[in-house]
Amino acid sequence: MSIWEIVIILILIVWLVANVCYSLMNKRIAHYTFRIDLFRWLSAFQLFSRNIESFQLSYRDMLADQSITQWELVILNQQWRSYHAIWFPGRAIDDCAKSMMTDLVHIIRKDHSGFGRKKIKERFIYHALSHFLKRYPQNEGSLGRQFRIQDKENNEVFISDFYNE
Amino acid sequence: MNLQLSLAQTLGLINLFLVIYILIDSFEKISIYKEYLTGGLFSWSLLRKNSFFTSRSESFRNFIDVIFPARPWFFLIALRIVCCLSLLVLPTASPLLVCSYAVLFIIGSLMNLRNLAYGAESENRFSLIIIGALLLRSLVPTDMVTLAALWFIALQTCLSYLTAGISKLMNVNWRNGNGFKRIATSYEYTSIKKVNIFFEEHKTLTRSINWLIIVFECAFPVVLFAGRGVLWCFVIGGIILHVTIAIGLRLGKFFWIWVATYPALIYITQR
Repeated sequence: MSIWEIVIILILIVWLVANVCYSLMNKRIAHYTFRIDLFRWLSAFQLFSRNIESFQLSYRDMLADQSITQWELVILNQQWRSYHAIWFPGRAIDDCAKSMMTDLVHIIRKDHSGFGRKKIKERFIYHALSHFLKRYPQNEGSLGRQFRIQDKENNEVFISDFYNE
Repeated sequence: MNLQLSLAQTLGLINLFLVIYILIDSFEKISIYKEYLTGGLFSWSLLRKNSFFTSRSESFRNFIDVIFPARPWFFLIALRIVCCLSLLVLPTASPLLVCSYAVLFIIGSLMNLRNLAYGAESENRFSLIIIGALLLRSLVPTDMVTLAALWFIALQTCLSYLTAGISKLMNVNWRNGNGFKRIATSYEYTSIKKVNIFFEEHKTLTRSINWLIIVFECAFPVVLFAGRGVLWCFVIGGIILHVTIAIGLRLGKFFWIWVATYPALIYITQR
């Protein structure tokens, strides 16, 4: 066996062992690997194993006369089409919005005060969600937009302030 | 079934599935290019505000500010398409193959980095395992290294199924037989009302599938030792599972990238 063969095989073994360790101790070491493994070469594929919690996102606007519009529900499920099994670019956007909601709810549940390590309003996810909602039409002269997240039973989990970015 | 795969056929099939995955993924990204422009969900002006990036050194931020905005990013996506197509035409011993795999590996890694705020895509993460192994194999394309790379891919596949199976066993819903039901009856995941109603009404079948999935995933590593009959049962079972996921959950890219590893499994076990 040449030296290069040994080097390559060693790299493969180290990568495999690292992945086994990551899979076994995912919760414990993910906190550390998150900052080191920039390119996400380590993975633990827990496909569909986690509990599913679905949330609803809606928004409303404050108009120029300070009246407030009805809540508008954001539909994040495109109608099923057979070709979606092969081609479904819209999934990336829907999944992203769902992931942002789940992450935000996770942060809120961890920190009810809103003044924890980082104010929720300063979180990237909060900012990204409000940014995402910009795609929905807003009346001219609107003073701001507010969004809320509800759980499956329509309980309010989070409501934002009116913001105008 | 007595299908035998030669080494060239094995590598060819892995490459073929990999190329299909990369093409679909790249063109999907191109089709939603507006999301990468200013104001879009994947625009760099938004993503760069994530604390992961803002807390990094200035030189690092300067570097990613050059490659991650929409224009250079789509240049890299186009390069990804060219390199993946080259895998189909270049001979297996071509030095250019090393460049193609290297470019695919680097761009795939950068995709994970860029998308960090929302979480890296599972399919892309898994594709890096295959591309990485093939890249290392192309650097030293001897029989020994080729076999090691195929073993690596096969073991990573087994690990992925085993991890998924064990984490389902650790989840109380899956243990109670309700894990699959939650997915199949939730419109959020399976957006076909008829399917939701069907599985809501057929509780015994739903529970049986729940346990079948767990047993399939936990027992998958058995394919490495249990002989050809068992291997083909798992390969066919895996294809059915991934086709069902592709149709029901609309996760088509999972199919291509996980099935891309099956030729490695077949080759390893037939030896």
